[in-house]
Amino acid sequence: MLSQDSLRSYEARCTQESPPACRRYCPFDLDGRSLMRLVAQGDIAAARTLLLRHLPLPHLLSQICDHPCEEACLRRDYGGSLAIRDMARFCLAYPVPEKRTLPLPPKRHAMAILGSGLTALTAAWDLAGKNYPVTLFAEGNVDDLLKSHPLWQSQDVRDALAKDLAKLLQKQIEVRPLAAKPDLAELSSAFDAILIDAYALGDRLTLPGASDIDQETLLWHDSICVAGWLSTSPTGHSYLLPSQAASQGRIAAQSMERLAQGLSLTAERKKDQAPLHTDPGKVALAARIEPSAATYSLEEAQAEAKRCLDCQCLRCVRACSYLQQYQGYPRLYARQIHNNATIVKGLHQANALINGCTLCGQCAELCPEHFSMADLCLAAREDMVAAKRMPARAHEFALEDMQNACENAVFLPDQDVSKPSWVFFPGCQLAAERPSQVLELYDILRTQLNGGPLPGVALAITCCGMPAHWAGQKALFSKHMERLRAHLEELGRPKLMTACASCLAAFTEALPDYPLCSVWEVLDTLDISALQSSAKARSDLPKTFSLHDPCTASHNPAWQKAVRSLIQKTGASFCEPEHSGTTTSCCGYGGLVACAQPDTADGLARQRIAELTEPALASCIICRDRFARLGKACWHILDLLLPKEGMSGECLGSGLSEHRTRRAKLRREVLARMGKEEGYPEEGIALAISPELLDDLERRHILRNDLTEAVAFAEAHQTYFLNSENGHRLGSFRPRNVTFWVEYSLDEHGFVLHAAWCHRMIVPGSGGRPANEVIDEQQALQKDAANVGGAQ
Amino acid sequence: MKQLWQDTRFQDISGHALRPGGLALTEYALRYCQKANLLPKQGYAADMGTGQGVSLALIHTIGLTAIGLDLSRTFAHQSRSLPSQGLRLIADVCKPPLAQGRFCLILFECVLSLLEDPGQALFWAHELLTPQGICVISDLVGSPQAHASCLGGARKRCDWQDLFQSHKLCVLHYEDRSKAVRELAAKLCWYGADLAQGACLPAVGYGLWICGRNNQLQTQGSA
Amino acid sequence: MTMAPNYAPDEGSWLCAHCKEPLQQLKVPVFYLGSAFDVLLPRCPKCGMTFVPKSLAEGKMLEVETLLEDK
Repeated sequence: MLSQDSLRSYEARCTQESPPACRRYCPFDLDGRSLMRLVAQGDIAAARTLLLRHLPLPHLLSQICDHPCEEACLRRDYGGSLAIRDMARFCLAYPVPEKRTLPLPPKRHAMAILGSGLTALTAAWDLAGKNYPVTLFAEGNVDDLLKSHPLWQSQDVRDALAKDLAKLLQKQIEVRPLAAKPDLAELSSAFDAILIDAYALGDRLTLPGASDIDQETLLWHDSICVAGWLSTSPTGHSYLLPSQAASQGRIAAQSMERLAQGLSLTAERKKDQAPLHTDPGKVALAARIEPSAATYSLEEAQAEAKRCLDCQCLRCVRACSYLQQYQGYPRLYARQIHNNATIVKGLHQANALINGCTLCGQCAELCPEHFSMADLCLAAREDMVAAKRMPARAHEFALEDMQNACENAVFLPDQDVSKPSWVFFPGCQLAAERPSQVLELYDILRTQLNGGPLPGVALAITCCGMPAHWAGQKALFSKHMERLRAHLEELGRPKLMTACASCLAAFTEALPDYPLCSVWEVLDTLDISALQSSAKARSDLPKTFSLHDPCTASHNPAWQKAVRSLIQKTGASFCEPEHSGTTTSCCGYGGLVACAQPDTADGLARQRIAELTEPALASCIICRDRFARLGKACWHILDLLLPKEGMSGECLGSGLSEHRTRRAKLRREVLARMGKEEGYPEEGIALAISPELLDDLERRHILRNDLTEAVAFAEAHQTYFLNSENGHRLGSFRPRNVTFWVEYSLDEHGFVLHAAWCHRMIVPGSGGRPANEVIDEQQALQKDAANVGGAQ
Repeated sequence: MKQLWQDTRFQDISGHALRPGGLALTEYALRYCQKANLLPKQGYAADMGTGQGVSLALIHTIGLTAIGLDLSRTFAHQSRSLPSQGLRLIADVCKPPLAQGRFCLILFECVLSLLEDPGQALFWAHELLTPQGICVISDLVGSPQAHASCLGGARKRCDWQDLFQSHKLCVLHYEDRSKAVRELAAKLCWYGADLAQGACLPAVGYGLWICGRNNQLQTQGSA
Repeated sequence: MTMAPNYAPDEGSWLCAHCKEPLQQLKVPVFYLGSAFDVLLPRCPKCGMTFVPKSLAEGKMLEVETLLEDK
């Protein structure tokens, strides 16, 4: 399984949990986004609580703070930053019933603070607030403090400071006069930690400068901290920056606590998080609303609060309905997948997450930090398979289809060239859906290439093994690829040209050193003027297409370029949807999601369809068939190059059962070219199935083959039930891991199917084996399992 | 609110063991201990949270004298074991009225997650055990679920381990028995128990620990 | 033990074509991934051929199969 470290590095890439810009730059970690949300909702009491939780000397700061948060606010360029400081002032002034706070238990460590500048007062506020006994050595009174800065002369500021001081003095704080020359040794023995305000005591003691002290701990020596220097501008001018001064006070207070308790000064202090990536997107300009009086009215405050962009990242989530389905974001999902924690009662979320990802990599493209759900989910699938915890049901149907493609595999060498330079690899899906176009294309390629410098085109009709890779079956995938490599070496190591982007990706993954390319790149270099003219003459094609790049071609610029070039050569015009090329969306088939979670897959297909404004054009037959099935007219690029009578974008694919038949037929045709005859399979029983029923059954992973096999078995062994009311027969057959049930009857033409269903549970007395045998076998298995025990 | 284990259908479905894994898991654990020579031929065993007492009969068959503790009088009345197979006490497993240092085996089967302070029960377990004594613990593993009763006490495997170790019990053997929870949930579903809490079950796993007192580390080796 | 659930055919009156016997609701253990469950299903009393109605296969069976399969 993923180690904790690699999980953390995965998680760290997703910045959705990072603080928004306002919070990131606030020394007091105030979440401006939450503040605005609460005000907009009208919950001023909660907004106030939030402020009091974060801000020291809240009334004073809401008057004088230099608001670094506003400098950082992303709304700055869209009408002006959110008025966070004014909003704070509004909330604090708003009449809200005072909440009674429970008294905290008094702490025993005595704290001393020398000076009464803003830094010192902030430290006093924090420490006294936690009920430490604080002794403040002040050099004057409030007025003296206010004299230190011209801006602080206003009455509002004086009133604010007075309010905060009144609150402060209610705590365990004692104010004593500051000595002319404080005796640090004496103070060190009397107090557990000391803070010296550098600005106030700069003339009484020899103090280190700001550059001499670690700004993260503010420790000078022993248990003495120093803080509160003025900031210096590049021209050497000293000035007081309230946010900085108060921030130093907070940091010093934290250090003093740790010093008193003997804890590490540096552990877990600064959180290192990647900044939250927020793309404001299309934001309407809206001017900042200033208070018409000293503070906002409620209406003004709410209007201003509503301007908040509510910074989120969620870039990947917005583009992918799979990520939206679980109402979270990748960081959360990474944790769930690793911890196998489920959120919703009874919903097996971790499994669903792992098997619901198409592995297309779009999220990694859209994410500024390249978080890849694909990497995470594929690794998780491989782990599950290795630990024998992947439910067979998830991918069995697709793997059986892969097996069928392999059983119908055929390799045709070039009749005229003993060591062909090329091998055309159409892919199992195109071969099963468009066998005649495959052969036509092969013949064109051969004709053209054999006259050139690199003659000889072989034909390899089989599956590339990608379903095994997607299913997390590493061993199966590599074994399959090794066999393919052997075949290819036998053919003389010709350059492989595929018509399927997934095949290309599979070969790139498993045989990175093998020469590969797409058939479109090759076609693009050939003379296709004959094809072009036939395409241009057509009137049945849409004026403009929306071009859909298959997800497995997203990192294949050569594929994308060649497809576009070919389309232009046929005279068709196209436009590109928002997510195209590197950021293209998956049709739902990727990662075997269409097999494991058909509803999720359909959601993804629909989301993609919504982006395709014109009739669609795809360079992958699976995408094309999926869109057509959901009512979106979609052509395949071969339909432009090698048009077929009656083919239009609205036509549905032939169906999964028909694929099996076509594969066998194509194999026979190719063998015939080699002069080999393969006998036709035994004429099975004739079973009439209405197209609607077959379509419905295929959706439930029941194929025609399964049904004819079941009927044949029942009839041969007389193992069927008879419905005396209508003469229907009901038989069952369990060839592998599923029991198929067929309800059928006999008419003058043969058998007619009325209904069919299936289940994976083993029911003795059904499926074609004697009940006792099955019961004995299963009970023996259970006994063995109980004896072995051990972890599963 | 009626607890899951008080529902008669749940009792039935779980084989009256009232926990995932049922009696088969107890049997497996005892056989494991026997094979590993962790149990003497004779001695006292305590079944903490004995419920309807199905484990008592089982303990009796391996030659130990069984004492079952449970606070529930209802379960005492519904007892599925004979008095000859084991003594039942209506007592609190956190304050067991038992002699210290006399027990070679203590069972906590899906009980610790129900207690407010499982540490107390473990403390006493350590006291009650003989120096060579064994504690068999099985319980829910996972993140505590907010709504359900017993599932609220589920803990992550590392947290359980910390809890045992902080009460001077070292883990000699651990097995993941999450399958038992899935099975119990499946059975609840199949047999029509529409118990809302049953739906939470798949969200947690189940673990089996064989623990000894810390002094055992030298003799048994760590798990 | 618990009352095993009882599932009759969804509709129709069925008999075993092989033995020409009407079916009876009889108890049979069903198995999946190492767990066993009891159920009453229509069975031929002579040869033991057993009927699984569509509603059961696509209902409770599917539910329980999924519960047992999950991680």
